[in-house]
Amino acid sequence: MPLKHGGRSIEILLVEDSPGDVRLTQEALKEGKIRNKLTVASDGVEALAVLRRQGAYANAPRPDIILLDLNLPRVDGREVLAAIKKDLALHRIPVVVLTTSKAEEDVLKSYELSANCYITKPVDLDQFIAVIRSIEDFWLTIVTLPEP
Amino acid sequence: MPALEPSAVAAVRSGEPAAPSYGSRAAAPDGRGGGSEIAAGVSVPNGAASSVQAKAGWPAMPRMIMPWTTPRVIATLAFSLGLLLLVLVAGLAAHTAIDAIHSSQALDRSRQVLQATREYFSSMQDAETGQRGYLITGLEPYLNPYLSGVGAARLALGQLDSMTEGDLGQHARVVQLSRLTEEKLAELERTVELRRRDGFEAARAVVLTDLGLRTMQEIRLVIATLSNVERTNLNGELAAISSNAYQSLWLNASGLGLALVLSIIGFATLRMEARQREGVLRELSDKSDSLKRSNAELERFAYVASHDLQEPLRMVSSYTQLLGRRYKGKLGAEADEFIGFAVDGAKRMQELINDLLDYSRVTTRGQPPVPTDASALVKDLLGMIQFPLAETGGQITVDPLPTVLADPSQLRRVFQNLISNGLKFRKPDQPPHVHVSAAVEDDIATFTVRDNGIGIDPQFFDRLFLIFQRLHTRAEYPGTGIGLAICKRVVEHHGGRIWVDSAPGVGSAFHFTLPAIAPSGGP
Repeated sequence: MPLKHGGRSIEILLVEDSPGDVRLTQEALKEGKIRNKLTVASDGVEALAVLRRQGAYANAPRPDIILLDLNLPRVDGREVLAAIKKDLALHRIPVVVLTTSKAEEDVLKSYELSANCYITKPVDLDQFIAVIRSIEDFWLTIVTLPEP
Repeated sequence: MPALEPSAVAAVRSGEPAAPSYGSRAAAPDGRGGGSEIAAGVSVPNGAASSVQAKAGWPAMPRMIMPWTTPRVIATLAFSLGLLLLVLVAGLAAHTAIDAIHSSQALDRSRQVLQATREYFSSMQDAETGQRGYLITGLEPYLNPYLSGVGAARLALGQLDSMTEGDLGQHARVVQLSRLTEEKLAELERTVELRRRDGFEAARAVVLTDLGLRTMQEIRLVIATLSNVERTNLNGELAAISSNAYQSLWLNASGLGLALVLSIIGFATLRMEARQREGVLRELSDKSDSLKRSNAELERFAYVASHDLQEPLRMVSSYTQLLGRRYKGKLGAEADEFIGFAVDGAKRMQELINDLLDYSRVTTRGQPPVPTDASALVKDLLGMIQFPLAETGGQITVDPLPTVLADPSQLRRVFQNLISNGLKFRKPDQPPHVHVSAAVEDDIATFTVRDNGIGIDPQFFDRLFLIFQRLHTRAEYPGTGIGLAICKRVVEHHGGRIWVDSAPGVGSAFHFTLPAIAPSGGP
């Protein structure tokens, strides 16, 4: 697969509070082909601060894609999604909702808030890894992302 | 009671009121999580739901016969006694009235006797007066009182005679009076005749014999006795009437009073019993309400518990698998084996939790039943699910199926489980054949899923539908043992019944009932 973006790594922002899931995602991405840099925000407040480059995150890179868990402490994932899509500076960034919930309400709500897609985290490790790979394949190689 | 709703739990995690999420349907505050949902959400003619319940195999409410409880016996006795007393009182009043009539008749007779006696006497005096006048003057007109008096006296005597018929003593006196009267009247007549024929001296001579005088004195005596006796009778009757009246009044009053008291006792006893019953019913209803609430809470708890277990379980499962992969062969053979068991355990735990979630979702995620064409649903199912037919040479046949009142996705699940069981538990040397059929009677549809598989030993029939009960090892047949438990829960949630006929080596037939309705537009 040709590397996109002139060879620079893809910036991925992972908004996830479970360290276990963060690590799994990291491992899965490591096994992939695309060079990527993973930034992790463990709650909604941190996520928005990183995105808006506030305070300690003034030099944070702008993510090319956001992987967002819905169940976050403090500011809930749905609110982060809403905030991102309302923010004119941020709303072009594709947001992939990656969460444990299969609930219809969550799916509907996420799409209503303009999530780019909704993925339920598989319980099986192999499947999880396959999903992360698919996200890579689709969003980072097939899809053309907007310039940041 | 702090809510155990998933949305609330999520809210605790995020610290904010969560958006409506899974399980919000379970949060019905009045705890309608059980079979009552079918009655709540369905627009079906009123009797249908409950009659369905009764006919679909639920134990019927024992018919409440009127038991003879102590309060009822007491009340009945009291009312009966009261009624009896009233009857007695009425009887007594009637008797008294009749007595009074008789008494007043007797009174009247006495009065008449006294009256007749007076008339008789005054008539006799008139007769004497007439006789005297004629004797003195010799002139015929002076005889008039004599003539009228004689007639009147005899008349009065005749009345006295008939009036005293019932009284022997008085009648005897009247007879005596008659005799004396005739004697006196004879004397009067003689003297009158003598005067007329022989003149004054002849008549005077008879008078001077004093016969007439003596007779009259006797007459006076008899009359006096007659009158006194009659007056005594009269007074007696008066007294009797009075005392009868008072006695009757007193008896009636006490009888009525007693009857009143008895009725009050009767009513009071019944009311007390009714209150008691009300109390018991209220207690029952309270208990049933609290049972419903606790059931609903248990369901929510089961749902939340299994849902929240998913996350840490994913971690255990994923990382043991990761360990297995990364360090395969690097930690020694034993490590591989140990990790293998851990991974396997985690996988099974995952399956169990998923199944538990499924099981609890039957009621928490249950949709209100709608008319569902079972034929179309099963056809759809067979198209959607790839049942393992090719590799086993198996086949599934379906008879025409009725329309029933059900939650379509849950009903689909039941068929899916039963059909896949029928295929799974096949005889190793025989292609499996699963047949789906149905019969409708009295608004109840009984579905049958029959297979030609290995069958079930009847001694296990009651364990069959229990959650996580398996009759075979995992090596023999896969599965957690939740399929039938889910079927049972769904069917019973719809007010139906599920059971099995089976013989080892022959096959099994699973039957379940659901409320049938006529497809719209036809009988």
